[in-house]
Amino acid sequence: MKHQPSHTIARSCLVAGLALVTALATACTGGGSNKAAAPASVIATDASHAPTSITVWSFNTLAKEVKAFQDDLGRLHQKYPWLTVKFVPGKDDAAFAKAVAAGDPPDVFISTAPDYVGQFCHNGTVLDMSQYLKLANIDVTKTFPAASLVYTQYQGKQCALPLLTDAYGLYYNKKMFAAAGIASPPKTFSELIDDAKKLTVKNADGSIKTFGLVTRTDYNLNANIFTGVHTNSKFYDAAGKATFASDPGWANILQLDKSLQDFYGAGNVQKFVGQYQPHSDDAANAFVKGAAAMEYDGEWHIGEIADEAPNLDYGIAPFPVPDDQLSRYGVGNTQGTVVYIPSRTKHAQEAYFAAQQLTTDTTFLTTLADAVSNVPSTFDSLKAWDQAGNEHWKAMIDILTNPGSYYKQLTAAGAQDATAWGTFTQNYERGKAGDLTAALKKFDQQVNTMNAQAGQ
Amino acid sequence: MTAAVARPVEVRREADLRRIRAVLSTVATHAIAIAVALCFLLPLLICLVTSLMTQQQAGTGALWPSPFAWHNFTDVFHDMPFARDLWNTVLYAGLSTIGVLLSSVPVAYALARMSWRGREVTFMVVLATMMIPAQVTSLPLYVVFSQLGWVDSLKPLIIPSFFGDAFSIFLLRQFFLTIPSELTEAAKVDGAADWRILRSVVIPISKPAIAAVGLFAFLYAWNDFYNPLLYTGNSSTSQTLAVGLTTLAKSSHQNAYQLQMAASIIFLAPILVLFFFAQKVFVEGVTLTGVKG
Amino acid sequence: MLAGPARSVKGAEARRSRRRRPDRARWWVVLGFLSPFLIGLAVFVVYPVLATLYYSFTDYQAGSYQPVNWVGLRNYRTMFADTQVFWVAVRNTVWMVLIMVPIQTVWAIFVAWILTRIRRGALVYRTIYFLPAMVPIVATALSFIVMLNPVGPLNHLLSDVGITGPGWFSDAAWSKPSLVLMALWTVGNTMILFLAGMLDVPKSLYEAAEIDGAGAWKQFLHVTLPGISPIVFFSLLTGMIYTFQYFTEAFVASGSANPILSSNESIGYPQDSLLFYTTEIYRQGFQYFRTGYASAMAWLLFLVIFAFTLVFIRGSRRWVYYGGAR
Repeated sequence: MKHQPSHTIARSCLVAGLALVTALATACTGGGSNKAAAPASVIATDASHAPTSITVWSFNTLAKEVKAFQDDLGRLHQKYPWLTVKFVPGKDDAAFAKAVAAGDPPDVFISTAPDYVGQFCHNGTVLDMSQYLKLANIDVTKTFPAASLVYTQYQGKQCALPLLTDAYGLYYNKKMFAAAGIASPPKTFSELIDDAKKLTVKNADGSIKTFGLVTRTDYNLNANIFTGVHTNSKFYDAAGKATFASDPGWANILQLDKSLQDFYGAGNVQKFVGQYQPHSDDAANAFVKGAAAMEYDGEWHIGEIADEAPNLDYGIAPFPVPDDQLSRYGVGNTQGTVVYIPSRTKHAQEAYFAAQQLTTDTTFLTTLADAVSNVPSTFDSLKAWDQAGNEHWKAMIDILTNPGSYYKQLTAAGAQDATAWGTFTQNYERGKAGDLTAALKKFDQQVNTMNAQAGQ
Repeated sequence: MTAAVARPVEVRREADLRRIRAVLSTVATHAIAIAVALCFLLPLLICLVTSLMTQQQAGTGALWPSPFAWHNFTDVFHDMPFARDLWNTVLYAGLSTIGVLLSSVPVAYALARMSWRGREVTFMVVLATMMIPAQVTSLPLYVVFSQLGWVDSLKPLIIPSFFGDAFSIFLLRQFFLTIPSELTEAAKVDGAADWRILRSVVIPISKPAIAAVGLFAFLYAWNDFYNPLLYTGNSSTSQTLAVGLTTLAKSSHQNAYQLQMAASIIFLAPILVLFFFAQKVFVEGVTLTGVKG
Repeated sequence: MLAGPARSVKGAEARRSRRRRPDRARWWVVLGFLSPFLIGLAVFVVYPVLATLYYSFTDYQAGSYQPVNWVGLRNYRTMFADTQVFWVAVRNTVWMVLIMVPIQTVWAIFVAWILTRIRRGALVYRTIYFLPAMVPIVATALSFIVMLNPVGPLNHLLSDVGITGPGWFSDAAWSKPSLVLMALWTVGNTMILFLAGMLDVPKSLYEAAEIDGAGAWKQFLHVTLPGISPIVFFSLLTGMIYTFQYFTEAFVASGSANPILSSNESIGYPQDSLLFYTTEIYRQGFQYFRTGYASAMAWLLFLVIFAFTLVFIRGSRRWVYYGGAR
């Protein structure tokens, strides 16, 4: 043997490796943005159709939620026997994107939140359903509340459909309010601060027994207080540039957060968060336990309280607005579960058919809403829903249907901007942001870079 | 008083003193050793008592379960797909151990007992691969495995182990180097080929080292979190226990410490049993990883 | 050490082999023995490493149908630019490497030293000290989350003796120290190495030191420590390489302390204090799908670990050379 085997092998490995890289890089990117052929028609509900089986992924993991979906999809199969649905629970956006990257996506994907609508839409990962909706004679503006279109459309494309909605409100303990002599829930920021102070109860040793309201960003769902809707702020201006430095609303809501934290002391807030964060959703939840007189939470908490503390006497109100915006009182942060159809599905027609049934059929929506404690997402189903008269649910529906309610704008950067904003607010709460104006300016740049790199 | 003639009383006192000092030092050492032992046992004890508490009691700082909730150990089988996760973990650990041994022993033999050009370079490459973070390879590998349709199955976890494992190769090589050359030379004279020498001389002598490497491979797979998270994290069929334990709280919206602890106990019990029966192998294996000064 | 040279064998075989160096194995036999490893190396190491390198110069996003653009060094520039999160991850990781690993090593030496002083019941103690190293990492992390929860058993015990315990994993100031505690608990493997090393130190050296009147501490300093110095280097090196890639413990701790969000979404909780380099790569790559950027981060980590290892080995001349021809 004259030549050295290991060298040859190394060289051939390198060559093979490089060849593979280029092959795969071209293979898995496919090249070119995705232009799915526009459909000529959609499947009519009364027509017969060749038997088809499709796969539906959803984020749900709770047994009762999974069962509700399976029941719903079972009813779909009864109604349209040609359509068989294989339901796979416990899949998140990451799993979906990975499946798309692998070229093996499901036919329908139900995601817990709309954070990635912009990204999937921009990248051509999911189908623009506008054409399908048009052919099926569905006018989205007449079907879904405006708030739910904010987070399902991206640059004029209907890349997702809303399936049940989430509204966020202020849960308040009526007994404690009465004991503190407060007649109605706070409407403005200054009322909120006053009430929170009045509702605070201390132990003999000076430690805090009951907090009025803890707003620390990383506690429970408080991040949703900071999406801008309460101060009428938007993440981005018309040109798509970040507004954190230019819109005074952001500094305003941060100030509210700071005054509450300063009143309690960062150490006390930390103790509260440490003890109650792991129990946000279970029977040891701070609001249920009486450790907090008010709590910012989503509507599914109504169902949790019903399970864990059926006798708790509480109300739900919109989160307050700045003192000079009283006329806007009633708005809230709204988002919801969304339904995607991956653009490379082999069964686009059938997938759309299933998605349309799921998102617009009143019976589906109301039974599902009951099972998972969400708000139904169409005007029709809201009218038909038997819970709509319940005072708690009514408060949430009012927030949801309020024309001033919205979710932060979506961008091609997906969930990154919201996460970065969360990091910023946490640093601010820890006194690490330095000069706020300068810090917000720098943050604007950071977010703009983020979006630019995502191809926005 | 001259030093040469010490009085018996003084001698005895000195002896007494020395004995007392020895006893005291022994007592002190044991006191420290016991204190350290308690530190090492505390988390396990807390894990154990928490696994027997009720949902109300777990995580409240209570140190003794009252009442004893033995049903936690059956609840985990209802509240999470525990049996399935356990089976997947056993499959993953068992099969990948076989794979690692089958593929690593010949490589280690070639690196330790055969002479060829490029051997040292190859060994350096083996060492270098041990330094590559999983994150560097996982992004493209994910694409490859998913194109093969292996994602959401145990294949991406098990199959690579049949292609050699750097750490195991390194350990086995270290051991093979210590085998006296007379033993293999004798076989060589008989004209036995390398393969036969490996099978009939090296492997029988190296049983303890191979057992240690096998144990480590088993443990690695049993503990592995990153790869199962990546490839089976969202799978409804192929999830392993390590990942399943972490999603227990998230999938039930209940932070049920007692169930997490009960599941952890079942998860670590087989390992502890292995450990008690094969402690010697473990210790020798660990010593093998070290470099003698 | 090497297999000794073969005795010369009579016949043509010997003449042929004398033309080359004696005792050369036939290349196809070697290749046969190496084949599983070489295939694995090509498929599971060489290809992915090169692919990651390629990705790191592009704006590739997994799951996207946008055309992939070559963006040169942009991903690397972005890292060092204003994304504070990257620096948070770097800072946290360096903290662990520089603080956790040395503490862990000192503790392992101390525990091993205790074991050398014990005559009776040494095996029992050794078993107890080694036991936690056997507990799967995920189970360890979950147990510590329970033990160190702010109103949990440990703080309860502390308050019994009048100490107000901190928030541990829930408090950004205490979350990394909590991980250090966890690392101290699972120190068994390193401890066994030190124990073996200490028992290898010749007795005569201790006796000589004793005659010179050195106490226990002096003996430790001048006899034991030099005797185990190669193992100290070894354990520091492997500990640091491991800690650069610290993932599971942090991922599980953040996820379990914050069950309201998915594990991916709670990466870094609380307040990014547990955001480490690898968890940030995971988040960028598998949560935001920024494959290109995550690849750049991964490559940088690879280079840093490699450079660090070389420097560390160069810097410690005592490093034991691995077997093989010199």
